[in-house]
Amino acid sequence: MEKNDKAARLWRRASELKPDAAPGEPVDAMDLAAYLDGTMEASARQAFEQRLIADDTALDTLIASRATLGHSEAVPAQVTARAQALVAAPEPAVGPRASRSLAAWFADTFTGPWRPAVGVVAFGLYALLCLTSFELGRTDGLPGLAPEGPLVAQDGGLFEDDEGFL
Amino acid sequence: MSKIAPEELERLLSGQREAWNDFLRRHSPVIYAAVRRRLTLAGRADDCDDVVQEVFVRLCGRDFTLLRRFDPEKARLSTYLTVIANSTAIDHLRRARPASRSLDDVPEAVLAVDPKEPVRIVIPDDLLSPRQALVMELLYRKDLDPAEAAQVMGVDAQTVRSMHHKALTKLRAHFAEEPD
Repeated sequence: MEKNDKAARLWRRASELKPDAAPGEPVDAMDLAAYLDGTMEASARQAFEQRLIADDTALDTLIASRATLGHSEAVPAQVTARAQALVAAPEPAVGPRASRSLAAWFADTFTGPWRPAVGVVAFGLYALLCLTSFELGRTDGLPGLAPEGPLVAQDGGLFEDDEGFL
Repeated sequence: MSKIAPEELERLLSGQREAWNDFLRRHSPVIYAAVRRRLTLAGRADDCDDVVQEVFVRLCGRDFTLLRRFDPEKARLSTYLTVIANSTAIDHLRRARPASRSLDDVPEAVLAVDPKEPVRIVIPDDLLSPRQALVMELLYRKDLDPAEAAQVMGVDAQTVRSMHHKALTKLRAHFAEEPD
């Protein structure tokens, strides 16, 4: 039996005389999508169709979605640019990072595979420092550093000859 | 079923810009198509760009609430986005529409020259099944043909015709009208 005007009037009368359904929960987009994809369980489908009849917006959304499902179109560049601007780029790290302690800097810099080398490098630097200091203390061959007179005063000065450090 | 990988969804929900840009690249054509087609049908294609932006605002608004509600086990992401896009377009059209009422929505008794008090016949809630009532809504209030109604409901056209026939039989019996 095809659609006809008499049936249309009959349904309109039935709709007018039907008691108004109490407004229920708004139909969820996820439920609409499940109904469209045919993944809604049979037990839930009947109740969902009942809610669709009572929610004109949801029914319009269902009809429109079925008509546009599977279609896609190229998006104009200005539309994409506007959408991209909705999520901000991450801020560059400043402030707290710059005031980190030296210990924290060492901890961050020498981590992972570099950690064993820290001790070796530190020892090497220490040894070099010691050697360099020792060399700087010597006066041979450095005329500019040689004292002009005897280091000990002739009258004995502060130390007697037979005294020394303990 | 087109899925969104869990790690991709996680990156998106954490607000990473690259993840958002990637999401736009992959899914905005579906959203744009849905909005443009719906608005063009209503003669408001010029509003397309703004309504598409409104869709994206909804998607990433309130800490991506709509996307957090997406369940890949229940439906495809493209279907979910199509629903949201059409819902946004329809909301836009309703806001833009001047407050008026279709003649079809006005009871006939009100339009009659000599309005008479209609005989109050109570229609039981269970006279028609929800599926039969939905078929009648789609065919007569939304003015779809049986093939279109079948597509909306995910059934074949013959099932729609069968439910249509059964619904009319029940209604006629209830109103005690003569059949065609």
